[in-house]
Amino acid sequence: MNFLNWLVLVLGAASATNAAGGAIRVVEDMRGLDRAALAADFLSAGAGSSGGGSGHTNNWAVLVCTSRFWFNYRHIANTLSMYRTVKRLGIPDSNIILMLADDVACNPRNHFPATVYNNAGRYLDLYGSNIEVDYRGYEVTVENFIRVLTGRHEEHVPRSKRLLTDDRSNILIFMTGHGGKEFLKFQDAEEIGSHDIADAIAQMFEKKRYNEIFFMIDTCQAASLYKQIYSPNVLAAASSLTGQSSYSHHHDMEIGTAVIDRWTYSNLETLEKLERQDKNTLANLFKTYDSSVILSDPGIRTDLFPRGIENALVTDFFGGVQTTELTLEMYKTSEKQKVLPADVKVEFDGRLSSAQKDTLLEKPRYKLKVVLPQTYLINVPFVLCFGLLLTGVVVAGSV
Amino acid sequence: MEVLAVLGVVIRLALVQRTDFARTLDQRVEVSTPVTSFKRMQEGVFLWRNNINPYEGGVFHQAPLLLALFHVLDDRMIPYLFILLDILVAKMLVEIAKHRALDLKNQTWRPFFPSKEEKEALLAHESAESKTVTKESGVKKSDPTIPTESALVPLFVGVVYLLNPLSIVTCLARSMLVFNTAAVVTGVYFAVKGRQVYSMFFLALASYVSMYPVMFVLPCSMLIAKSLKVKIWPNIIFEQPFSASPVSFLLFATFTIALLGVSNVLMGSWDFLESTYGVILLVPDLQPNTGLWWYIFIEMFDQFRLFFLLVFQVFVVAFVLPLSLKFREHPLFVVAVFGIIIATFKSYPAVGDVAAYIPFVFMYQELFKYMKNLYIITHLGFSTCILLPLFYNLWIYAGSGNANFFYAITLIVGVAQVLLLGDFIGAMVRREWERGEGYAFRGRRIEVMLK
Repeated sequence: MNFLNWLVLVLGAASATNAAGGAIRVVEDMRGLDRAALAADFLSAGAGSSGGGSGHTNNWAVLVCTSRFWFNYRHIANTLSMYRTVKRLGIPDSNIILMLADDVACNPRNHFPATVYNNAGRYLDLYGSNIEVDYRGYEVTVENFIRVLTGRHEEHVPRSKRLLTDDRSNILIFMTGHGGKEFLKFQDAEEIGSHDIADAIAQMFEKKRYNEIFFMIDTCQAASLYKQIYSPNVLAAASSLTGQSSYSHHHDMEIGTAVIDRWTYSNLETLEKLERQDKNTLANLFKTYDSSVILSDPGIRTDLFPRGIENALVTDFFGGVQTTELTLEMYKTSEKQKVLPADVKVEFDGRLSSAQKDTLLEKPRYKLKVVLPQTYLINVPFVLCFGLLLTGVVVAGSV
Repeated sequence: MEVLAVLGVVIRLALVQRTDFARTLDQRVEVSTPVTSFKRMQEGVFLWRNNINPYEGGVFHQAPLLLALFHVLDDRMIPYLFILLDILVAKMLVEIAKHRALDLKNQTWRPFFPSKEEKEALLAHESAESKTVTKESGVKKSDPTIPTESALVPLFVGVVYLLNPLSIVTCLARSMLVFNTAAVVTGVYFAVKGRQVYSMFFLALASYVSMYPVMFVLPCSMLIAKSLKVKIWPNIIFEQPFSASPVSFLLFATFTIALLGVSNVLMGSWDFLESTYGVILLVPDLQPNTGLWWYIFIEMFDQFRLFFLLVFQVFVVAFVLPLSLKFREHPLFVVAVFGIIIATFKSYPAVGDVAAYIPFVFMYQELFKYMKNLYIITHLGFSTCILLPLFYNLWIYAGSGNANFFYAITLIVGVAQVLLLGDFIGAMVRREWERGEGYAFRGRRIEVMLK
């Protein structure tokens, strides 16, 4: 086959091996396979996991910080830490809905303006210059959160603010703020109840808007918030059980507030060690929780998650892993191009035929006109006409 | 008198060579307007040299032939070109003034006879000659009611132009008004001499540079008719109600079209029309100047803009026909009056317009004794010369005044010029009347009482 195409495939394979965490299966001969069987094969293959795959093809994250004001610095830091983690592990900004009050980085009380740190050592600025906040300030409301989850937006809402998931999407929902028994406070003005969350997730199931959901929540009495969920394929983790408070981890003396919460800090300690191809499971993550350090008992709800946390990889929810299959068949992109089937060998002798040249070197659609600056702008017709005019005047005047 | 003329030239040369006034004067809004600014000309030439259409930017509003002229001229020669043009203007003003002086000397006064006997005696004495004589010629005056007037010194008119600080400032700032003035004065000069073609060519050039000199075509054609017919025929023809040379209009139209055609050949398209004449007519650039337009058009709502543009433009040209008809025997006077009207009411006036009409006004010195408001006008002129830049500085640079300060002074400029206009025309009307039917009331104050 064409040398260039072969080169592209090989390089693509090489890069895909680096980028994706999954195995590469090269399908030699596509014509013989049944398409449906191929698809089922692909989807169940998973990311090369051990045992049953999750069957997801894309990852999304909904990261919500429900607090505002300066003294809730740590909640912004929690959310931005999670944002950084999922981005690092491969979920692109287009697949992340970030909802923040976003009033701490440029707060006049911030000793380090335009920064958000989650550590007193200030090793890493989470705010940076390339974060994309989708809902900021007063847009973080209960209504908007539920609209995001259920996908019921008004017409004018842009795509970047929508959760455009399908039935093969794994969604990470992370919420942090001030909560109580079966409620979560939004922006000091309203609250969402656990039944609302449950019903929203039920709507998502009805509309086939998720494959699996991992619901993380870091508030006081957090476990009460996931108690009412009744849809399948939902895994939930909370920072504390009903009746317990969640605590912040440590203060930064110069910033003047607490900078991170204990449960999120514990999660991050594990997550920061992971890379994209990591095969650690969620069970391993949950085993790292130490109640004496977190000072509260983290709650895990697995009854709605039949796959089991031993089979679920951390990167199933935190990473943007994608299964890749390469094919040696070419797509036709123009009339002249011929589709070369895989079993036809074309000798490459270092020279391109004219047909191949045509496909490779297409004529540009526009012509570049090079304009050189003229220094001599008084053109000859003008001089002639003007001279004619002057002589005419002189001649007529002397008559 | 010659010394003063030379002094005017020397002042210009000294200021050009020794000082840096040219740059600062070019930035003063009283001197340079969007359609006459030299800085914009430099911008246009630069754009054109780099193969960009200078009219596309909305900055350059001057005629293409001027663009071509400044394209070929060397930078260092340009101030001397303007000084040369000023000298030519002064020379031609002197020539026009000579003609005017002759005209003044030849003016007839209807004699006034207190009693019948004196009338018989005088008629018998002066049967052959119908001219009056003035004191200077040495012959005894026949009629004591005729006012004693000193003859017009032509060189004085040239000196008035050269030593006028307003014209010095305009020349230093290299404003395009110098071209305008030169073309108009040349057109009037040739009209006075009776050279129809040249006169109309220069008037076409003047109206090509800025539109308003088109008003001068009618009085200049009357001047041509007067000078041609006086040379050929006696005064009988002159008695006709309105004699203007109709060929002049045709020539003017031809030359205008020819100039526009040549510009089209130079620029390659007709786009320049919108940027040059469109700007003068539609006034999109509302940079403050000494005129009356910018303030009202800045605060005008768009739906009224066209109407007021029409009104303002018509106001400038509406006086052409009536004044020409009224003063058909004095076309040069009409030229002077049109100069004042243009300077007061045109869309982008500057002090150069004032400097252009003052010599023409000084050619009619015999009217000054009939004018009632000269004292006020001169003092208003002096005070506005001081207050205009002062209030502009206060508004723009110091920030402690606002546009109303500057606008008030432009209003005073308008008031002064309108007073001058009214007085000037009134003086001419009075004088003409006294020369003719009003012989019984010469030199006397007239009170009208209703019984």
